[in-house]
Amino acid sequence: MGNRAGKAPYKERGMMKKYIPEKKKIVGVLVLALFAFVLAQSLFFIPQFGDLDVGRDVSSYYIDNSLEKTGSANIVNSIVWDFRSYDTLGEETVLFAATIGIVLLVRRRKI
Amino acid sequence: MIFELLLIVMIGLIAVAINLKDLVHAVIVLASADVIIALIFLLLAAPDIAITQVAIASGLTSLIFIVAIRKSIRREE
Amino acid sequence: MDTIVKTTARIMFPFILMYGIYITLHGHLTPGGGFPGGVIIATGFALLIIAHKESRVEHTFRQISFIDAKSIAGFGILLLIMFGIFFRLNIIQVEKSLGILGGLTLPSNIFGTIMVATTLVIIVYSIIKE
Repeated sequence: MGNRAGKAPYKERGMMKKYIPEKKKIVGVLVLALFAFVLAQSLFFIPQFGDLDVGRDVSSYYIDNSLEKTGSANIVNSIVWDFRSYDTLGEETVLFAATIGIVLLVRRRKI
Repeated sequence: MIFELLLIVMIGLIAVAINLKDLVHAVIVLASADVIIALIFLLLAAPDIAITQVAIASGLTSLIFIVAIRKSIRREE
Repeated sequence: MDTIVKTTARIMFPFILMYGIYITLHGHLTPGGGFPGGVIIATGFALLIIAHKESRVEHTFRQISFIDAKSIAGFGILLLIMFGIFFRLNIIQVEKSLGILGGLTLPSNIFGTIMVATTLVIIVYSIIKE
């Protein structure tokens, strides 16, 4: 059914564009390599595991005040549901949107 | 040191899962690769995320994969 | 599916449910919280949905409405957050009078679990139904 190993049938009439031409593939790979190189520069600034700069982080406030202000011994839980509960509310809104989208997709015409 | 070993084991498991012909076996091998990621989370002192990772990756996505395989072919090639 | 899979799913279902509720209710004391508990409960339900044939699953789903439960839980979370802001309830007095109960964290965990579990059950049911 046609010559699939050769050049791409780019503008043939009646046939959808199925193959990416060779030039666009090379440009895509180059752009990805540049992006990966720029992102990899940030690997040198990550501190070691367990390093803490107490005077600059907000985490010491969370650790000191979690039990008496929230009443829960699990600091992760108190951060997620109490100190930063607006973000959790936004996450639940995203869950709602996902459910509405999926229910719309599988709805039949006659219930 | 232990992180590099675990990551090499995980890459080996995924390479095995790509070359398997029976798709249900490949799903099981992929689920075990996700358990290795949960082990790395435990070694980095994050137990909440480890529980969530095991529940989602080894429980729910494996079930959804098996449903998808049931509706199509089971043995590729 | 087979008889073995059906019987095993029916036997394992209460244990999975109990484990998920345990992780949720102890969210303010041990690792866990709302999200893993919801996922585990949804896995228990998804096992039942996949093991049985489609006519019986559809007959059961006509009587339970998961979208109503999700809406009620979402409204509950919103109400809790507004309530907490208005009364500034994360102050010492609440914790000392209630003891080991987690203040406002415990109802938030329960509502979050209901929302996550109902979302995932709706998604798995929609995938099976097609």
